[in-house]
Amino acid sequence: MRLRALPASRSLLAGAALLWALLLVGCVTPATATATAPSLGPVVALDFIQDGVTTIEECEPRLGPPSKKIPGAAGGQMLTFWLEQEAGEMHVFVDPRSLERARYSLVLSFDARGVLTRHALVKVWGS
Amino acid sequence: MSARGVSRIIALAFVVTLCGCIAIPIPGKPDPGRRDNIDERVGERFQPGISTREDVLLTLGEPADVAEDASWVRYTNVRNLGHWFIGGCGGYVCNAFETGDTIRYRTVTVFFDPAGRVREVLNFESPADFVPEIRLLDERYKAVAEPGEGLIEMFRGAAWRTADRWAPGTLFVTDRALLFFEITDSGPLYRLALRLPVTAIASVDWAPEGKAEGSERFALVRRADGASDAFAFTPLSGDLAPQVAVFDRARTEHFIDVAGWLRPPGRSPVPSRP
Repeated sequence: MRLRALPASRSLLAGAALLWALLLVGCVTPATATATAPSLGPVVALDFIQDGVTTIEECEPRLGPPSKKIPGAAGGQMLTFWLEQEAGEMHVFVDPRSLERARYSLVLSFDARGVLTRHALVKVWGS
Repeated sequence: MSARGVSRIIALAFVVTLCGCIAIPIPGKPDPGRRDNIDERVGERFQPGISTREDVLLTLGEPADVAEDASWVRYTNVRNLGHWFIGGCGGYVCNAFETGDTIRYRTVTVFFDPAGRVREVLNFESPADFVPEIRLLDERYKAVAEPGEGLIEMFRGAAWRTADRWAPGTLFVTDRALLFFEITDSGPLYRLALRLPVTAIASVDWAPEGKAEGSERFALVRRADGASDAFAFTPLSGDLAPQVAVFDRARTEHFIDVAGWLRPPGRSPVPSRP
């Protein structure tokens, strides 16, 4: 086999390409973590929540288990839930892995009889 | 040569040094621990003796941590400010690297009296940056924390004087104890070297001056039994190299402030500094 001599310009180009390739050696594209986004929890309607009317027994069947139970005033109790809004609907989170998506904290305060006295939907992050 | 000439040379040297370098700020990803409603003014929303535990929760939402007897609740706000991408070429070599993320960590602890009314609000931001690996250490802390034990502050880049040497590690201040995790040469990387319950602590203050070189820059924890423990801190919250003690007044002062919130039974708390 007979090698054909390259013209000077093509040699220069090939040399430049080789140099460029050498310069790129060691460059890597950092792998991006492709963790599966946590799925939203079930849609919940919050219109049943009314101070002086809603009882603590009504909440768990509708909202699921609370994220925290904290003693309230005069023998009362407070329940908290994490919620996220998407497409105009509220979703409650029951999977702890999903908490990083929750922007709302629902706080329900019950008296000693288990009747809702005060509540608030607190936006904890996001514009 | 005139001062103007010297400054021109310095400016020229600076420009030449930076030739080929590029620094790009990379915004941080939203941290799962981010809480936009927890800021430096959150304490102003509550009045000691008047606001209730209900008021706090209904205003701020679910806390990150609650005492078993609900005598305090704790909120944290972790903000990732991002990092820098720095690249440059010199001669025939190009290189690039990224700095670690800059994290800001604010802790707000609200203490309540037995009637459930706000007693005081402790609100501070960790004064130095720390890298995300601190969370691994945080997990190690959780492994040894007692049920319901609340973390008040953690000091990476701390040193504990033991047996005539300064052991490097991380110091945790909780509502029940001081915990010091020493960095070890072999696994596990962090070992619980000291757990000093608040009941065993008589005082936390600056070390008496004049006893040893640098003594005015570390804190002395006096135990009720007469023994004492010394703690020092690096200027930044990076890990200390073993056997290297670097003292920083500002972080030591911060530690003394935070330790002032410990509540030894039967004693008045050390008042917070203005």
